[in-house]
Amino acid sequence: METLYRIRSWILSIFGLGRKNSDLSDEIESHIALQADLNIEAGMSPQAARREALKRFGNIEYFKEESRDAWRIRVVMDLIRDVRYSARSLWKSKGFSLAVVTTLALCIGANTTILSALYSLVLKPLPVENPERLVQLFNVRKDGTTESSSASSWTQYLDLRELDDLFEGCALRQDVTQIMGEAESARRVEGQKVTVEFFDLMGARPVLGRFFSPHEAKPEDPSNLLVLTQSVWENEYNSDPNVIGMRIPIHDYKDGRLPYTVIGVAPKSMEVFNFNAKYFAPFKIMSSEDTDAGRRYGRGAAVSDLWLRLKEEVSRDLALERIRAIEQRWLEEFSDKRYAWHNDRIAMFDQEHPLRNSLLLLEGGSLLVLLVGCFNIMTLTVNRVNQKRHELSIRGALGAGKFIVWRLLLMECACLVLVATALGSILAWGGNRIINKYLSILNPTTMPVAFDWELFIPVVIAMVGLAVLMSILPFEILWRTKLFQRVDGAARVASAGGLSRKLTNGMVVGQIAVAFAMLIGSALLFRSFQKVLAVDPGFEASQIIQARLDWDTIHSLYKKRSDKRSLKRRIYIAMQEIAGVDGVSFASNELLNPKLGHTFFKRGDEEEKPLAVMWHSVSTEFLATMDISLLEGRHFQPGDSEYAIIVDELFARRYFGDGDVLGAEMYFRKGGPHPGEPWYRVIGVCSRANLLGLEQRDESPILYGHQAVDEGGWSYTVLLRTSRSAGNVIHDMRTKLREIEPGLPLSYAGPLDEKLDELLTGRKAITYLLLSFSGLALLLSIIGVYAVLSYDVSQRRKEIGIRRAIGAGRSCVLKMILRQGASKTGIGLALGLLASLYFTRFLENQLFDVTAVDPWTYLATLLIFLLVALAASYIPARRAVRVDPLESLRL
Amino acid sequence: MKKVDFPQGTLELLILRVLSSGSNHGFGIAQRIHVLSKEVLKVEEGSLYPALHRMHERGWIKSEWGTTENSRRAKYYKLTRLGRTRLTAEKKSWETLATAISDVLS
Repeated sequence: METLYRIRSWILSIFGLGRKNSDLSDEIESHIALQADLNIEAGMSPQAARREALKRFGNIEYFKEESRDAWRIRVVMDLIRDVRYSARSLWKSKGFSLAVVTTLALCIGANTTILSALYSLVLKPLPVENPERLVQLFNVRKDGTTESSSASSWTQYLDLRELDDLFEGCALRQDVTQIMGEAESARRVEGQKVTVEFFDLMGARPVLGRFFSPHEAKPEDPSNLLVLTQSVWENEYNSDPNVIGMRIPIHDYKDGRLPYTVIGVAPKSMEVFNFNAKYFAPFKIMSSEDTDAGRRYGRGAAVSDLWLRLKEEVSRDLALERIRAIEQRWLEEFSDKRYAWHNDRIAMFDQEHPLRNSLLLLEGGSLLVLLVGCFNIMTLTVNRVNQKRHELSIRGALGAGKFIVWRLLLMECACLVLVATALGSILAWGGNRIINKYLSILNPTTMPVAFDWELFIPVVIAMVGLAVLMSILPFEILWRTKLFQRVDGAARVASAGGLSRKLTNGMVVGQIAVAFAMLIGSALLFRSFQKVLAVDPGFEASQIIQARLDWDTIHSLYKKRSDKRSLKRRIYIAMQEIAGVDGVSFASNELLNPKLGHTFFKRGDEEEKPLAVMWHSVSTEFLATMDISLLEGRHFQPGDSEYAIIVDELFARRYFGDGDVLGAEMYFRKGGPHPGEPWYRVIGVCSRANLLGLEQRDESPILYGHQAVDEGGWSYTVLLRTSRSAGNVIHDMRTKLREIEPGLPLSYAGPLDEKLDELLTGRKAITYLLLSFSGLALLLSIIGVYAVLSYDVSQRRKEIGIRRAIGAGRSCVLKMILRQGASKTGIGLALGLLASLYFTRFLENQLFDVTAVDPWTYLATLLIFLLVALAASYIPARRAVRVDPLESLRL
Repeated sequence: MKKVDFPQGTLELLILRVLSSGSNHGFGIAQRIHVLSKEVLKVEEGSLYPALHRMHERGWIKSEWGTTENSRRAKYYKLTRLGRTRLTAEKKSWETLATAISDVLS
């Protein structure tokens, strides 16, 4: 209490109120002293003089109060008085305050976290000039699925640049990974190559120095220039202005190690394209590439983002139509069947953010928590107002109008909201960190979600407004029942009015329904997650280490094909020499990268529908290394050509059914191989290995092509089978590799089971976040049940006492209260069941091996809910049992 | 002599009048009103202060701590420019009112 007074005097001193008060006292004291002086002069004794002076002055406290009323600061004093009163009365009912503050804080925390993620990742426009006219071009499969690269190519850029009647400009951006630094300190860093118009198109101005000028982007220009990102400039160069002109060695696959000169620093807004990139370099299109052959191949090498800025009066549809026409013309010009898969692709402007649906799902979850929270606050306030009815009716009788009573309740509300907002902000901050942690795994190039005040403040205002509404509304309703106008003591004895009872019962039932439906939804997701985890990967995930060799670096180091082959052979031997390694093999693609997809055509059906597959070109002993078992046919043998393929059982089942897949022939483009080239031929069927991730168990069948270690030069994923710890083996791999070629680092190395887990991050995040949201909803609705029942019991003490007195047994009273809890819960659960039967269908595409009406999930959730609700009713029921019959008779 | 209660609101006019002849403290103002009214008007001394504080909030007068002749600390009030114009206006409206009332009565 003492601290409370200290705080009060501190606040008062801010407004100069303390000084003003003592000033007033001094002033009046001096007045009396002057009068007393005069009286003494007139011959009175000092005591009599003072007494007389006081008499003449009149009621000192009254005039002091009147004087204070003249002060404008009076409003503040009233406010402080109200706040003090509210804080005291809230402190007295700790249960109520705690429940409201927790509810509100959780709602604010959950909603701001998810909303700010949704906003900054999906809804927020790009931080560029006039973002509404900037479009990105995607090349999407006509059937709606995305291809391995929905991105664009430089040939598209050259073609679309011609459309200057539609576009103000067009720029290409590509993520690159390069080796930066001198031999010893060399490290792989991410950068981006941009065409010269890029920064202009985005409306970006350099923070320091300048951007590229057109002649510097010409392929024949010998200068190698860099623009650093602002983050790198600030963090790695301490914002040193002398960074301009600095030379940084970068390994380029065409020309080897070269010094690049820093010419400028790009603003932070340009980091949205790739948050990990450290620099921008000019995108140079070699004139040698810009030939027919180059252009023909070019549409295939689609790894860049193509950005276009529409002219003001040009509509998106018109622009898209013209672009599609250009694409069609290209197809006709290069109608070579080799690239026939381009027939499937179509240019699009907008593509959904990959996290959009997950974030919307989460936002739905947090909004439901908010809904339950609102129900909860309303229930609690109705009870609170009911409890204070006695006090309020006395106030009313003493002449306090509606406004004064209203103001008191509002003040209580403000106190709670203030504390809840503070707590909610802390929760939102924590939630933001969790989101960013997941985000850095799910989508590493995305900028972390900033704690956005621009968004946080409106959300908090909305929450607070809602909370105020929720607490004022019950008061308003109860006021109309003229509850407070009676001081007949009814408030003390009678139970709550029928209306408020109906209100709270409705709220509790609603809460339970929503919470139950949410719990069902997240339980289904949780079951799915368990089912996914239970999927057999089909290979020895924990014993395989996967490592990538850097393709670019190899090409810059070794020009001749034979040199590349011998390098691969040396690496193969060196890896086998590592202690504890039981098998080594190579594969063309990174395993567990679900973004890769290919199409094949059956012989005899080569003009017809393509077979969607995943293609891995692997070395001879791949299946043995991975521990994938052969079901039919034979393994690869060293002498096999690249046209021998092994398919997995899913392929056989899906595309051949009962037919014989062994010996089947196919090719990867429409119309089959060129004359003289053989068909690919199936020599074996192996068991299914989920090399795209566990969730993709039924998605893409896998084709394994053969590429012996000594053949070809593009299989740069090394797979090692070992029972030793991954860290030690990777260390040995690096040592061995340095002995063979010091300039060639391992770009990625890690055990496959780690990668499997990583692929499940998104599902895990959504499952656990939704599970915790519905846990919150459950908790809140249980608080609701508990609050209503215990209030009921406290109001019905007299009735219960009488029942006890006329012979009701303990168990009878217990049952009566429990039955009440059970009936509310029962109605809520029934409504929730109906809701979940309807709404879970929207979850269906997130479910795995579980149907939306999985009976076990429903049953288990129902049971859990019932048990918890009964436990919550048991406490007030116990209290009812302990009512002393004498107590009610004495009243 | 019989003491007369004076009409509501005129207290402020009297205070303004007293202060127009120089700054004074609360006790002094009460004395002056008593003397100037030839001891007819007698202010209940306490009621002076709410009026003074009201006038202070309105900016008609300003205050300052000072010392009296018999060396006691007291708060001195002084007219502001706004107070002076108020005085003229209030005086005028009072005179109009007084003439009107005496015209009616005579």
